[in-house]
Amino acid sequence: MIRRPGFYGGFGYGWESGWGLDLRTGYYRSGPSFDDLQLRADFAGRVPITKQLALRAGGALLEPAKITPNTFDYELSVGPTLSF
Amino acid sequence: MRTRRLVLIAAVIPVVFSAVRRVDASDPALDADLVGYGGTSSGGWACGPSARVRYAGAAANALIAERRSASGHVEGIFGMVGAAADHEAVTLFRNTCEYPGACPDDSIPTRFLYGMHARIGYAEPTFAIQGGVTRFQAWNAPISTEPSFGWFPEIELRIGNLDGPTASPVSEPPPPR
Repeated sequence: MIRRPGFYGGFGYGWESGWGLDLRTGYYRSGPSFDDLQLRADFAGRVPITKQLALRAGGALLEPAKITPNTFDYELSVGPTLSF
Repeated sequence: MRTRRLVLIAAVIPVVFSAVRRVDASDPALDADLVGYGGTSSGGWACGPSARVRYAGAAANALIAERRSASGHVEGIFGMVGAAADHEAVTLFRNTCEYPGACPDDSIPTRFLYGMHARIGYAEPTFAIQGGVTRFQAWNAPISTEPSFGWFPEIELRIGNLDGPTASPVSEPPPPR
């Protein structure tokens, strides 16, 4: 999100087991230009590994850009969260 | 001599216990996120070439908060800093520019582009607000030879039961019924 700022909203939910789900959608700078914003839907899941470590994985689907109408863009992400 | 030894031992005992004391909710909380990501985009030029951009990168965020609740949610005043780097490769499909010179003859250089941000905020069990600024590199125009830095303000508002039993991955499991 650092390199793709935008205007977005969504919600998150956590289960008692420690699993979590975040959903958000909004208009983002798709890049690498400064010019256009694209509608994008993001989802991310969180899986607890230990009390201090969780793994997050997510994906995003972007609406086709006007300049390339037949091509869907996407993003995938994965990484750990450490809490101390 | 014996009295002196007893006094010394008595003084050491609380030091030992204080060194292994349990961390409680009033201690500062520290969270660290690392993420690797990759994807595609169209380039996003308002006036520019039709392109396919493949990018892959990594980002890291560090957050320090005044305290952490029993459920693991950070509370009080907090600050966060983060940085990211993308490797972006642009493949041009066709030039759609309406006037000469607006589209590159060859291609846009493949290179790493960087970004960073900083935020401060305040969190309570039912709401959290944070604000800051992000600064990132991007291409000003399809014919640019070097990327430029831009900035964007960041404001985030969260409302709801943020301090629920599973608001954080460090939450304790529910007690047996």
